[in-house]
Amino acid sequence: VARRPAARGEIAGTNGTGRLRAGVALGLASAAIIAFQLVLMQLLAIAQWHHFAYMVISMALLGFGAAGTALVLWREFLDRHFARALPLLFLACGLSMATTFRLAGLAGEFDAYLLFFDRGQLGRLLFSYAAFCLPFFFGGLAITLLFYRGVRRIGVLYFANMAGSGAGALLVIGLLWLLPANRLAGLLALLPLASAWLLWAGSARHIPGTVLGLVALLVALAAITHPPAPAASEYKDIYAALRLPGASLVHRSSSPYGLLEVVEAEAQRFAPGLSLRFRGEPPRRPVLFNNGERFGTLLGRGLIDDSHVLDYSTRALPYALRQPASVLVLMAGSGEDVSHALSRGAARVGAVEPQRQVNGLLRQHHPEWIDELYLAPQLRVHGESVRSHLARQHERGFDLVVLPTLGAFGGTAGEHALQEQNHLTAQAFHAMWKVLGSEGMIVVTAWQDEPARVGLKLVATFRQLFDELGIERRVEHMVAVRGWGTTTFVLSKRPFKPDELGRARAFADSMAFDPLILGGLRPEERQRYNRIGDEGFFAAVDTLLLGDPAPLLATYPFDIRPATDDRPFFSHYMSWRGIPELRRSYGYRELPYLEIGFVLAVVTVVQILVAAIALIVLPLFRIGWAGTRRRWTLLYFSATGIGYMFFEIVLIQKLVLYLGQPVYAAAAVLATLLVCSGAGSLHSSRLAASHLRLLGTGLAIACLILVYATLLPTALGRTMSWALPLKGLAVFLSLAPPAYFMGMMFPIGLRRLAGSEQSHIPWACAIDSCLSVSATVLATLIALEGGFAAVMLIAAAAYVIAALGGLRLGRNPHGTARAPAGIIRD
Amino acid sequence: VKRALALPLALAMAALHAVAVPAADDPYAAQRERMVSRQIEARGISDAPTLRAMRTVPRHEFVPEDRRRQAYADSPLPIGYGQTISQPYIVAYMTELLRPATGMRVLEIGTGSGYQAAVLAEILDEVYTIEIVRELGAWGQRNLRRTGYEKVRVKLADGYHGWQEFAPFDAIVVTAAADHIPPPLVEQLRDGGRMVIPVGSPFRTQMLMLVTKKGDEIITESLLPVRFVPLTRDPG
Repeated sequence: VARRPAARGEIAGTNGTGRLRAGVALGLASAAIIAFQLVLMQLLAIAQWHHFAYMVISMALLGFGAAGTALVLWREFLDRHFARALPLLFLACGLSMATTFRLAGLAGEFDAYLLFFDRGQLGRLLFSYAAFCLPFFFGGLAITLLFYRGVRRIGVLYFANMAGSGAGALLVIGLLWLLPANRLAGLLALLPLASAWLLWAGSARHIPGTVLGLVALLVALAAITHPPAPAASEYKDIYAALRLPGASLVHRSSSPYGLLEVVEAEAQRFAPGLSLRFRGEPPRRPVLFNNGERFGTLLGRGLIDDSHVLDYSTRALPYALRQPASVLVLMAGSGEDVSHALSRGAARVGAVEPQRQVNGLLRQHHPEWIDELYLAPQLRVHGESVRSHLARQHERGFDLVVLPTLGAFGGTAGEHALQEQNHLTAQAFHAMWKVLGSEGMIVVTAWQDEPARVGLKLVATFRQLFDELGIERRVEHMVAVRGWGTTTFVLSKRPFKPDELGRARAFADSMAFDPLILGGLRPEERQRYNRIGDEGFFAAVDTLLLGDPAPLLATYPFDIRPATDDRPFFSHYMSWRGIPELRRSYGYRELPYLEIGFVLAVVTVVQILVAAIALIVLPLFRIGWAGTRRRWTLLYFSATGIGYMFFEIVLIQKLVLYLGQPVYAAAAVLATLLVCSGAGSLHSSRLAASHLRLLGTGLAIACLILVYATLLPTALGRTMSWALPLKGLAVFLSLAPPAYFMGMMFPIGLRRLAGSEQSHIPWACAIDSCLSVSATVLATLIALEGGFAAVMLIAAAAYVIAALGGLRLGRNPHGTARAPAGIIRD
Repeated sequence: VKRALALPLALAMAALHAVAVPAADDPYAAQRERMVSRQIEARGISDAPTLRAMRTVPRHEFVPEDRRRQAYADSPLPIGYGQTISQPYIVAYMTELLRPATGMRVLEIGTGSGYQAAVLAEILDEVYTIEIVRELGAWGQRNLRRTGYEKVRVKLADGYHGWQEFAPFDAIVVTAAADHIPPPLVEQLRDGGRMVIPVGSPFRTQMLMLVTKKGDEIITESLLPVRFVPLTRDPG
């Protein structure tokens, strides 16, 4: 390590080799940080739940903001010891990556499910935040320091940062196919260690540094060979399955889709909501889990004597009504409904399941798990998203479209409330309607819940569909039957005939089910076998289907409005308006368990905002409170941080839906955004950093966002049936312009600060990082209520504010810089 | 006169002693009384044997030691293995729904901590309970033995098959319900018998399902615990 403090603008040496090393070191660390973020998210999703992972990582990413704050506070010290500090920071980043998961476990077993129940969990949670924050803090500090010192070469450095981040997003997808996520933390730690080594390699020997480096290398290698094993929460499905007598884990494989595990146990029976008239022995079958949550039973043929086990459930209703020859099963999972369709003699069956890893297991690697069901000649399996598949013109004329069963026995605690379910939106039902033949039906089954939510939201969605299709005699197109646990809804393209209605009645009677919606239904028929405590449910169903649904939708304590492509959160029911009434009915303690996903998101926003404000205010004690320049710095960089992330989130949501492959599409969209923004930033270094430039660029972005808000959904909808390469090109062309221009705003802003408010540069980085992280979570909450269109409008407004704020920002343009890339959405 | 004065005093002392002794032996007695009066009676549970059982069974002996301070709180409690001991009110409500009476034979599926079985055993002579998670069942069994409910028969097995040896049962409580109601349990339910199934996620019992058997006819009924205030709806 060079003992002599480097001059400003000098990065790890004065020659070209040194500068190249710094650029490569930065790129490697950036790639590692973003890849580590995705690995950490998967590890936490395996141990806990996806939304908990989101909550922890959002807080951990504030490490970037903390890095900017730390640089403000210790600027002189880090400046003085730059040559030694930089490799040490990269080393600390790698070391913490390798150890953070074990470190987080030191505070004891944490369980997100108990968070609202057990105060002791709070301390563990805070400790987890601190532990997971470390790699981002050290990495962020190294990158911000490098930017600060290398302001004259910021274009190259920034490009290295962005390109590295983009590469990291793609790299991790490949790595997750090769190795389980828990081994990747140690592997990725090697990248920042390599960065440290690169920076040290060209310097004088430094024995303590070398020893530290070797120790860190050994720790990283140990993390690869002896990785931490994420233990599933005891409230996850797989935990209970593995405690059944004689249970054994017979398969485990990892991929970007998650950790797939198969558990065999004698006591695992497949009989969901089976009729109480059933007197046989349900099939005992292995169960497939993804990230510890039940993905589906490996049912195979599912036959009991001559009939299929599902013939004794409400799910058999469409087969009682008609004999569908062609069946399309959406979100086919492990093939339960495929098995049912084949058993009922369907001549053509399509199974759409975007989880390609599962499809591969069931078709190629272990077809015996499902009795070679997926090798049936009349079956075609499609590894793509439901919406992409439905958009294809040649897939039409189905007699039956089957949706997956919604909810779970006993209701859920709302763990998946924030999950985007594009196959359950009003637009999705329109797309399903289009692929039906003239005799076609759509069937969806839901577990009953209390208070009623799932069933009512479905009926509200069907009502909207019928209204938009101009079908006025709605009851003639719909039949629903309710068992003791499930309700199955069938929609028909043509009105049901009297003999079909008779068969529905006979089917219900034979299975001790009750008709819920049926032409000519008498009120007393609805509760003959299965009585419910909340009779208001029937009135609500009738209002939604036959009356004016608007007052009910407006006053019901849960959000049962139909999900749309703009607000695709079908499993989100809790609304701000309904919370007071829910609290009165259930009390504070039980409230979070009505929809824990939503509550965790709110908690996440609150804690992030509190932490972000602290991190932004703290540097003011150092750089001073007096003067008016600070407010413009704060306004400008807050607006660009929020605007960038809000727009990025909407783009990812829209384009992932468009491309149809959630995991790959998210990685590709993210990488393209980062690289295009990097290119924009690189180009901006050649432009004058004038007030007018900021004003013009900001307003141009705002206009672009408004154009996208208006035209993008239509344009994507019309081209969704295009071939993948064409769609890829369309995505690139739609991403590149906004990403390019948005990449300019930050560096131009920093260049204006560089001339007059040098001390504001790291503060601006902290503001941008903090607001970017806050924005990712906030955007989701806004989208829940107002849809992604509202998020777009706020993004546009943010850029208008940035453009106007830029008129008072800084003075003399010299350099350029940007906060480290790497903040992404889950 | 002294004797006349001493007698009421002695009686008063005896009465004080009678109150004080259990309080000294059982520091949770007052909490348990409050639990019954405020959480259970106040919500409409009136079945005398049920209330007596809830007043008697030491709930704190059926929760993990580090949770004892919360044992009488108005909420379920985690007991490990992803399971909970139900909220006191739900235990009382389920017990009342079974209409417990002398001579009844009751089967419980899902022993858990053993608390529900202990409450039933306070009222009935024949209580059978089955737990599939071996460690949990062993703990529940120890809790029952320690608190003097030796008469409860505990089996560590898959509850799906019920307990044919002692069938038919007048009532069955399924506290560990899967997504189906096992046909063997329906068969082992006596004609006219009642089966109660609490439905919900671990920290939120959303309703109780009552299954009644009358000949070949089986009727299910979803019952909302009275603590839930019905949600308002504007039907338009």
